[in-house]
Amino acid sequence: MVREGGCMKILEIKDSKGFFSSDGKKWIPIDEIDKENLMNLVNLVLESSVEMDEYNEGSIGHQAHQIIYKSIHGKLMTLQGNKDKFRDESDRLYLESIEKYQQ
Amino acid sequence: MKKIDFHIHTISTISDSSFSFNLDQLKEYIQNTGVDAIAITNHNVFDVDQFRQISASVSIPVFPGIEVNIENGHLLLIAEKNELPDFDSQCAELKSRISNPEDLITTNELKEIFRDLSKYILIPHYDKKPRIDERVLAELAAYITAGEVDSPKKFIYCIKNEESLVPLYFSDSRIDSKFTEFPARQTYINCGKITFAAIRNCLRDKNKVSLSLRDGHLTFQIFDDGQELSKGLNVIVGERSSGKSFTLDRIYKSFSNVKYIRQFSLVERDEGQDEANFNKLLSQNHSLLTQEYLKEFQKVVNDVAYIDIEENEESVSNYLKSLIRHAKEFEKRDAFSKAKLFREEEFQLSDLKGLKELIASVQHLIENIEHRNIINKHVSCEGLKALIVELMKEYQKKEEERLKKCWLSDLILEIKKKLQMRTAATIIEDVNLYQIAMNLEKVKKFNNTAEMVRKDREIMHKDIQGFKVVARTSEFSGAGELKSESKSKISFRLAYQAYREPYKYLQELKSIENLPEADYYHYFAKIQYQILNKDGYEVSGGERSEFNLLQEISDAQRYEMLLIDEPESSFDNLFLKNGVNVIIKEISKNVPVVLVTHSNTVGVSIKPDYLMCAKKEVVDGEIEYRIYSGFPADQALMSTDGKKLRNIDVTMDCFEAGKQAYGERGRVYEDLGN
Repeated sequence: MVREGGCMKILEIKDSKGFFSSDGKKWIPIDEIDKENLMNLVNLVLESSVEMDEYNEGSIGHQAHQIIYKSIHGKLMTLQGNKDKFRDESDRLYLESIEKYQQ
Repeated sequence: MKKIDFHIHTISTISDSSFSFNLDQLKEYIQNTGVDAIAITNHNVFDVDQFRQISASVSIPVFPGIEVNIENGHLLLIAEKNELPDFDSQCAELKSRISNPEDLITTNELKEIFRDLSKYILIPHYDKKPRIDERVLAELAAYITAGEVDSPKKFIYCIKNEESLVPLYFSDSRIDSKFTEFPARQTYINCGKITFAAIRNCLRDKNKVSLSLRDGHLTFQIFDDGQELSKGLNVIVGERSSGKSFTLDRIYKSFSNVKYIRQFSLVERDEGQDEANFNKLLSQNHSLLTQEYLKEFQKVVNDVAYIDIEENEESVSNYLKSLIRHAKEFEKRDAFSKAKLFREEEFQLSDLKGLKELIASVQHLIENIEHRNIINKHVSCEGLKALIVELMKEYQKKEEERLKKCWLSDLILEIKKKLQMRTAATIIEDVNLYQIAMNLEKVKKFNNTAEMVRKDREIMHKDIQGFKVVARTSEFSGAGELKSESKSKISFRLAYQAYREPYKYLQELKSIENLPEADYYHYFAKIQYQILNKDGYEVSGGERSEFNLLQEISDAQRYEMLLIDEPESSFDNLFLKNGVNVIIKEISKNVPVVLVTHSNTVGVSIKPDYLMCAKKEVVDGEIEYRIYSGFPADQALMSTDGKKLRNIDVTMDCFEAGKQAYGERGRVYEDLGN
């Protein structure tokens, strides 16, 4: 689901379970996530504007989902908090070198 | 004028290679070179008995002296003869403080030992190794009489340079039985009667010292028979086998740090091999430029070399697997794994590098003086100060936060470890997603940079003496080229297969045994140097030789003297006149040049400062070699034993094949003109 203003939701809590989505349309249970899926979410967090349902112990009944959702949500939130720093760091990355050799 | 040599060794000390003093050789040296006074200056030692013996045996004044290891250099300290007893005991004190070649005394110790330094002649190694540094010179400035140099070039430089000390040029010889080739390294002083005071006065005045008896600073002596050379451009002429090359060889042996371009040495013999050598030399000469060009890329390679993308992926995978497994293991849940801290993650610590750099940049803006006006036009100083204060506060806050998180992370980790030891539940492996994303970004940028670095393009061109040196980057075309680049027998066959994928290629380079890690960046782009002629085409074999000659001559600036033997044997007249002559003339303003030639293009057009004619003469059935020399405007050239030759005859014979041939050639040119 892509919200107004281009903000895409990537983590959702529904029916007491956690889900993730890489395109905002197809929702997959959080316990089925693999490394490619997680890296996609990382890229989405860093490159676009994303939304994630807040973790709340009471909202997820499924115990396994609870643990996985909490961990991944926590990691992606930390990453989102560091998004500006990442962009700054990335923009400065090898800048001297790129400027020198792209001429 | 009097000739002095105040730097002579007669005792083999710990600072010398072993030798045995030979009094007869010293007498012969004095006689042959015609020195009027000498000083005995051994390393940190003075032998009064030997000194008395020498003084009594030679016919010229001998002064007592010593060469002192002071700080990082050497200093000649010469005393008056009537101070001998005091000087002897002072030297004994100095000797007791120097027991190894590396030992030295400080300027304070020098003052302490020799007390009133104004009584002596003090001559530091000035432009000569081991040189006395500026600080010591400044500390002893009030007492220093003159400075020793080790070449005529440096002597002339000091004479011209107002700031320099009065230069002195001495033999620094070890007098033993093998001392038979006597150096012409002495200094003339404009002094009447030889006394300590008179010499010291002369040594303080640049107008009273010279390298030549007759011509002041225009010439200097090269051989012990009195033969001189100009400090500028000297041309040696003469028939075949008259001793021209022999003279060059002799000069070469008499001086150190001499550049000698021998006859035919630059001419190509095997075109293929010579071209390869030429290119190799060209690359070596420009290796600094290659390094400079790849400097930034080197930093990137060094950074990316430590990134392991596979390991990154594995850590994401391990994190997820352990997380999912842990989440699904209800049955293994126990009191330990149920604890919230069991699943708690460590804080991601920020390094604050960006903020630090930002503060430094603002600081730079505040402190910059050179562009103050421009900065003030756009940003007020108060604004910048307020900004830096706020940024610093922010830094303080973040740093405090970071330290707290750091402390907490350590605590969490410690508790987690304890809980993990007691439970059967799967442990969740941690992962740093920020670092992984940053590593991927680095690899992406590295791949782009590597593509840019090896793009086919000209990265430098400069004009050198009518030629153009061009540097180009391009891709390596195969594993063979990489092997040549490495100058080793290492095989790059496997690595080259990944050449198109820079990151993968870097991993392959890393897997090559014995390939130095610091050199990885060399193997991404091939940098080639080319010499183009004035028309922009690649040079021919002949042009390569021309370029080599010009480079060799230009290189002579770093030497004390330049010797060139018959450049006309290998090059055409136009090149000699327009290329070689111009550079030689320029170089000779700073470095004495000796040129052997038959060519009037070189010999006459170059307008030498000094002319020498080598002659093989038969006198009473015996062959005698002689050098006649003088200034170009002199009517006669003189030999050191007083014989004369008419200058015009020498010039006509050597450059024009005689007066008759010169006249005939003139008529031929006249006819051609008509």
